Amino acid sequence: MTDLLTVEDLRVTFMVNMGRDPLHAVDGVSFGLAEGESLGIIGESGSGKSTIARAVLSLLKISQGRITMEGREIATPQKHGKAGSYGVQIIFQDPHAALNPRVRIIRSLVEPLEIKGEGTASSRRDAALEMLTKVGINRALADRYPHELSGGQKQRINIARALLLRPKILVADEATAALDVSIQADILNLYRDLQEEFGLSFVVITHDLAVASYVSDRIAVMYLGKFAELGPSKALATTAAHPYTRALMSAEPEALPKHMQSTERLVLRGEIPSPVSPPSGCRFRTRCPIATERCAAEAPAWREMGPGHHAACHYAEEVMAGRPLTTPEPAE
Amino acid sequence: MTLAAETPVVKKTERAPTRTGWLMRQPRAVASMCFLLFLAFIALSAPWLAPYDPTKPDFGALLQGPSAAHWLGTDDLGRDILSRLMHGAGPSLVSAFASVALGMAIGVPVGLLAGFLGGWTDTVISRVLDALLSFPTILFAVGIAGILGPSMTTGLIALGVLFSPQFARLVRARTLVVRQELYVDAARAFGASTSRILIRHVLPNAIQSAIVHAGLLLAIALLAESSLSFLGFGVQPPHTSWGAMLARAYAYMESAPYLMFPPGIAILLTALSFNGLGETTRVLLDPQSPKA
Repeated sequence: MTDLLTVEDLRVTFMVNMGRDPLHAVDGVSFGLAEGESLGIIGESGSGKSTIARAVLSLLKISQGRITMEGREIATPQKHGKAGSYGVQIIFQDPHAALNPRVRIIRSLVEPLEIKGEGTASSRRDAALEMLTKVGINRALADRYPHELSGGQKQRINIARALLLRPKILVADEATAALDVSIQADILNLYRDLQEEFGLSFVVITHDLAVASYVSDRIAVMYLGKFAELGPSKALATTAAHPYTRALMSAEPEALPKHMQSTERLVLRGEIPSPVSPPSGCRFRTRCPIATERCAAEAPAWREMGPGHHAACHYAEEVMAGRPLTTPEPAE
Repeated sequence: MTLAAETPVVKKTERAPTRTGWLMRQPRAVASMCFLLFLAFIALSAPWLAPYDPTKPDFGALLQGPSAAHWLGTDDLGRDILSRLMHGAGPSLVSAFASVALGMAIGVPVGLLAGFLGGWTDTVISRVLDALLSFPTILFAVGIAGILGPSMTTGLIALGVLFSPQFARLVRARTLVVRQELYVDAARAFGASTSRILIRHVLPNAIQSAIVHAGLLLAIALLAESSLSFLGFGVQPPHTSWGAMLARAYAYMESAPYLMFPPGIAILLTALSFNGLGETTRVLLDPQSPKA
């Protein structure tokens, strides 16, 4: 299977504290995305998942690695392609902020086409209106300003705008997080419909396991700039190989589909450590219920645990086999 | 009630809130606009409207108070004050508008670039702006006039250059915020070029405070032109502006105090009108402000 998009050993480093300390926002991530596939990337805030999105869009300079699209190199540390020119589009978290408040909806929608120089003014307008219908927005709203619409409507408009460029891949960066739960469901269903209609591939970036599992064929679990685990949604649900994945699942049993629900109650202590000085060895060890000295000394390898299922944990086999991950009571 | 039946029922239809409709309900804006239009009319038609030649002395009628022949009196050379006021409107308004326009033309792009590009560009531009801002306005204008020779154009350029850092600063500060906005990233994501992002997305969202400030500066420019004329660096005699008139009136404050009022009141009202318009323009340009 040839992948539409491949990301190889992606690293993105920002300089923080007045340029003195490097912050490795993404620290060696590889994955591929097949045509029509959707990949969920989940992780806590600060794990680097949005940085991956921006790198794939060429919205920032990558520090190491390579991103290719249909075999064509679109980003290396030396150069990156022109955003919007190679079939990847993005939907942002905040539907309101992603629309210029001084521009009517229709103007926002035709702008990408205008930049591409496609068609005439009236054909662009027609295309935009047609796309509005496809995402379920009344054409009458086209001449409104963003502040006159609801969050769900605005997100549909952002989706319409992204689709007007006929991308092959749509990156949804927390694209439902700012919406009400009922609207979230609408938007997620819209994704599924669009995926069928346009043959889109999706990268769904979220902190919400329920969202990821609803729309994704595969799920990558990210922690502190690295993937902890990557595998088919089903495999992750039944046989998660990383303690972090198990912890995430136990954190929101209600929202998950039946097969993913866990009776385990695993509460992670503490906060995600600072990516400026990540823990030695396994990055998750400071919060892992089964961490040992080995975890501090040696970074776990990215090992194949099943078909298309990888994880980075020294004890992945035991975790997969269902080793209980009890949280030791904090010593008072 | 029969009366109610006879009165034709004017149905209050749901009118879509239009900008013009909203504008017409702002008494201050309407008054400001009317006054400025009136001034523009006077300035343009002064050669035909003015009862006397504004530059021709009449030594038979020196320093006369208001009378039927000279409604607002005459000055120390016997020139008709009303005529001079009408003829002075043009230079006063033009120099105010031109100096503010020049200030915006320099300041807005500079502020936009400094804020958007950041880094060294911003540091260098900001230091130059600080230096310019620290000059006392009048002193700078006098200095420029000293170099380029005193004329209305020189005074106007000096004012424009001095106003530009104020615009640059305001625009830069807003640009720093706006460039972080998601819609800027979104524009980049669908392939917008930097110049397009600057002009279409950043500028319209960063310029509001500069527009309001332009209203204030127009008023200040009017007064500054007065000060420059007062010091002899504005309109050159025998031509006149309100500032020049005020300057002359000052010399006769005790013997002919009525000389100060015509140009003084004209300047005051015009300044007030400019202020009124600045704020109105901002609201008009903001689709989010209620205009119902």
